[in-house]
Amino acid sequence: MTDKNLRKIINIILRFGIIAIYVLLILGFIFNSKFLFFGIFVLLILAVIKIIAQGIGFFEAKKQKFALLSVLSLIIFVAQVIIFGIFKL
Amino acid sequence: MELFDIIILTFLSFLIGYISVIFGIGGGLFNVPILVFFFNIPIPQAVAASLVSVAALSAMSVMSKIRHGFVNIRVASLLEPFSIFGMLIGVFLVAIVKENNIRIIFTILSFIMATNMLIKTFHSRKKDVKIIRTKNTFYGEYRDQGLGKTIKYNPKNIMISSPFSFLAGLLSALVGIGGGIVLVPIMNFLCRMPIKASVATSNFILFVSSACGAFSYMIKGFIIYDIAGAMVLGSMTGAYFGMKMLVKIKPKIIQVLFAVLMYIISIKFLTSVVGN
Repeated sequence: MTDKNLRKIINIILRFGIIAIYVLLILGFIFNSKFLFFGIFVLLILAVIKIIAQGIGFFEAKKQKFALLSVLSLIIFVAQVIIFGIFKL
Repeated sequence: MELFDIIILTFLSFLIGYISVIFGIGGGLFNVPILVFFFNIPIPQAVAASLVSVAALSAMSVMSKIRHGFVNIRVASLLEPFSIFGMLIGVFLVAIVKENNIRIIFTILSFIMATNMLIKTFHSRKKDVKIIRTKNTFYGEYRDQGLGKTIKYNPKNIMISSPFSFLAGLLSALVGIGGGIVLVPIMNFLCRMPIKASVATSNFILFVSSACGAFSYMIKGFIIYDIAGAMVLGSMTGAYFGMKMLVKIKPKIIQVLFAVLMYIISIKFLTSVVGN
């Protein structure tokens, strides 16, 4: 996959994610604050999906070095959630 | 929080989003003082809400920058782990560091930001275009509509700039700023990247690291959802209109006003530190 295609994929992910955030936040203010939580949650999940798309793109393009770096980002991201979530630090 | 306060906060976030996109920053330097001084929100909760807003704003502004090819994804994927790691350490430290020390860091950062903005206004770099004969691993190019030509560049010293990426993540978690204040000058001067590519790549990195910080604050229960929601709505909408204006605006006057505002915020924080 070329860098150009990779950019296209990340752009599409961001676009759909942002529409989802808008919908959830507006629903949250009108009906129920639980939607606010989900709206913000989608935003955070968007970052994870973006890293995964980036990693897959580099992996397909056989740019192993960059694919590994994306995996490393993801590992730190997940480690952070585990550290703060499970161990309640 | 009252409905009226939510509406005011959404409007203020709209203005922050609008201005931030024009200057290529995350908006955290405005978010935190507004929440602390106008809405009496404690600093950890203000930092958490600010990080959510910064992540949303970066996601919005990075979208068009990716489309135009300004983002150097290879440089971003190298610096991103360092930034996320810095964020991890920062969220851990925020419970230990005293609130007054965070205010001092904020005072210094606002002062640097304002001075940086004034320098940029009166000494803009024009030597962005260079002839590239060989492409290195991080080679990037984009079409500059303003100059009417394709800009090609070979970023350098990427590994040397990685500790600064860590520092940007650390500062983001401690004071709720995007971290562009550190990354953009480093990419521009140390990595020799054109300013547009530096701003866009920094946004791309900080979207992930600020989302990562926001996640940790969310798990720790620091996020107040109606405040964060109002800020996200306002800043994303502001960023959308800011992007539309980006090509038309003459930035010099706004840049000076922005610098003056940052000096005022800096003084306000300084007096609050002295008062404590």
